Amino acid sequence: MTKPNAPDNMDQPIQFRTTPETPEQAKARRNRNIALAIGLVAFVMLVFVVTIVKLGGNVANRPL
Amino acid sequence: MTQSAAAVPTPDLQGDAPAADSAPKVARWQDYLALLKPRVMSLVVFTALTGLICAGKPVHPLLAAVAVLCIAVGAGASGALNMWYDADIDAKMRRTRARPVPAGRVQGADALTLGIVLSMFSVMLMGMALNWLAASLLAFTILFYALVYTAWLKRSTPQNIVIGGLAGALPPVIGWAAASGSTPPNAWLLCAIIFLWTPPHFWALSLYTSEDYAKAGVPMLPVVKGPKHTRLEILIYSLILIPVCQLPALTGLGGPIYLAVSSLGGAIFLLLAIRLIRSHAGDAVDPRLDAGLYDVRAGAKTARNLFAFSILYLFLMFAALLAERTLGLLPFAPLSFLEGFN
Repeated sequence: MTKPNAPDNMDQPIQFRTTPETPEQAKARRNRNIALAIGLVAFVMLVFVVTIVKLGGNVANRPL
Repeated sequence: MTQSAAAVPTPDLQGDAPAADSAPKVARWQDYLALLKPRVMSLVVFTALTGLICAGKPVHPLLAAVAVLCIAVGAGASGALNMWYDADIDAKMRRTRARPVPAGRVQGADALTLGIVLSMFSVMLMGMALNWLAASLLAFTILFYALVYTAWLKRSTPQNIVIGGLAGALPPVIGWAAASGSTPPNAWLLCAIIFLWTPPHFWALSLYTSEDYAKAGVPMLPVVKGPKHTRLEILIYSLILIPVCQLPALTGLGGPIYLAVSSLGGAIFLLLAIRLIRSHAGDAVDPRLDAGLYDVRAGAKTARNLFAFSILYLFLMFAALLAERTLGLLPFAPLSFLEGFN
């Protein structure tokens, strides 16, 4: 049911236009993704190493 | 976090409306790095490292590096939050209009997200790797810079950089807390030195960039009170700063090298502040002259000199503290009988 003052195209689905990606944009996006991946991997490794350092010799000396 | 994704969907509500003629600008990873204000970050790292080493407590080198990294990333996060909030005034100032958000290369929401995510990561990692006192101080510093300075003080009072300077002064305290789990008076002495150093440093800069601040409606002291009053306040703060800079030599924090640097540097600092107050730095310039933003105008050279030397002064004092600690030079401490400084 259409509201009295609604525009004519209100009941039409919204159509999206897509702007083609230029080579420059594609390269920038790829570099951003690589930088993000490096950052995430570095963070995971950092947390791992910090955990090992904090645990120290307690890992080997724990009661079995 | 990316503005120019592979294909940018744009809702077409007008049916056959023409496609947008301006393609989105390309955001490079360097733009996201620029959001973290790397130059400010380098000063924060240096002062935090000084606090960490001056604490004199043994810390695993890796954990010490993690502490400095967390402080650096936290500082960068607050920089990103600042760039998100201040995009409107950044766009009006020549000094800042090329920043990623006002230039349109990064969306404001992306800068905000980056700031929040990095804040959380840095605070949590600091808490887990070092201690929660340091993490709490780091969280306070980020919130203070983003909320108290950026969102409140900066646009409302000429005392903005005086009070807001606390955020820039806290890194050595965070570093000290990270190493020792406590914040003794000597840690706060380092904080006080940076806190008192900030007003003469920034006001000297604003004396020759006040037109930019006025255009953006930022109430920096020269804009609100005028250059003459600003030059007087710079001298007053210098007279307070210089004696405070001598205190570490009395409390066991600094030694003879530090005392020599702080005394000689303080004398030069005072001389430059006196030259500044006797100059016409910041006074109205001929509007017909289209001077560059950082061009040194005839009367502003004294302000430029003080600004440049203030950076060197702070750097040399903290470098002297670092050198004395790492070289193992024992500081003499006339006030060492007053326990509890370290």
